[in-house]
Amino acid sequence: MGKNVLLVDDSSTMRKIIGRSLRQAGISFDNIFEAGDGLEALAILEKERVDIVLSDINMPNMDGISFLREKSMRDDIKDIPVLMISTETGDDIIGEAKSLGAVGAIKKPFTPDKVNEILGPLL
Amino acid sequence: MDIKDKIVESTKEIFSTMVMMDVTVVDQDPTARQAIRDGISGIIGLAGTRKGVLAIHIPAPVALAITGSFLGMEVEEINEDVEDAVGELANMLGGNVKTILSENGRDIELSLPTTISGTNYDFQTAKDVEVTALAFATDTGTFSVELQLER
Amino acid sequence: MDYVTVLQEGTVEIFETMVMLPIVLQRVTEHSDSTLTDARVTGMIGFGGTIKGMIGVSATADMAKIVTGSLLGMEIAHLDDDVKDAFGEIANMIAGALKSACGENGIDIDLAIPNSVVGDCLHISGLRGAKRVVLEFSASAGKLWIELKYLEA
Repeated sequence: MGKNVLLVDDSSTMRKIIGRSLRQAGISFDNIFEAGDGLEALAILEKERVDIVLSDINMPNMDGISFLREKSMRDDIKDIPVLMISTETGDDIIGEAKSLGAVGAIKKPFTPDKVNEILGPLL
Repeated sequence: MDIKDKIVESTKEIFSTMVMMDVTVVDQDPTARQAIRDGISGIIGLAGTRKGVLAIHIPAPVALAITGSFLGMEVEEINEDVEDAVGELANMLGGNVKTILSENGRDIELSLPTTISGTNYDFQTAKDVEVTALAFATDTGTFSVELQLER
Repeated sequence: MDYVTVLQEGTVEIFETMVMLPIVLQRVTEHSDSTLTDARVTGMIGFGGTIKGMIGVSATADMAKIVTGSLLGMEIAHLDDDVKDAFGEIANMIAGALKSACGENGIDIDLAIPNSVVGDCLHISGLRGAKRVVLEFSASAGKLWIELKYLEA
């Protein structure tokens, strides 16, 4: 069975860019779901089978950190891995994301090679 | 009073006190997504607890009339005076919006204003935002004020 | 802080990694007014805080299409919404690089949201009293300008 990914970023352009990078990294998914914030992401996780989430941190309504916190409290979805993709480079915020269950982080800007290097082993 | 009414009040006040022009709200679709054939737009960013952009879009003849009244001089083409006047209008409107949105005036920062002028240009915000747009009438024609706020 | 170096390095990194289109800095101009009359697209974003200002990314039509196509991984035939989105996002990324560099120098800035404009004969004004620096980059497809207007509080 193929894998499904959920891209969470408030910029639809950034979601397209991530999608393009995934293709160029040679990583293919059966389904690419998209969400504009943490709330939309939770709603998608409730009804779709998602293998990995790639999430921004700074977003309106529900940011990436609150999304991780909320997700960690829901037994049915808490084990789905989340990889952060953000311009945030501070150890504090990445550390907080990891303590809430994020499996890693990709710093923007990123190359397809970087995406492959970090995301590849997680699939 | 909702934000729309407050923007109307601010715009009217700025125009009556600073520009020396009376403006009225008109019931027309002020959407800035429509291409502006020939005109100038003043833009200022809002950053901090609320992020957004305040823009004023003015057709060329209206911009000349506004600048003429604002600066008290004859203006015949879109030049530096018009750019300064429109940038300053954006700045004042941005300052009012900051006050409207902010609890103590310290949690929102304004960027510098900038203007863009040209022919057949149109705008797009790059994110999903809440848009409040209003059209105002002057003796010379209409202009619009648009506030985009990140939800 | 050396704004020119920050903008140059940030822009080159973003173009090498995200846009995957090498660009070369041609020249830097620092003056209060300049006209970008060849530009057909501009993405811009404001910022406030200890320093307030605005960053703009402008390009010629062909350059804008190539940059957008490469960034989004699709064919771009017209200066459409995808081009506007791409230039808004590039402005956002360059502003992010500026924000990081400012942070390292103890200067706090907050970013607004990006907007972009497509049009003919675009002319972008500075602000009297503000500093303005324009970096002109070139690639085989055309020219690209990064401009920063700022005022130190």
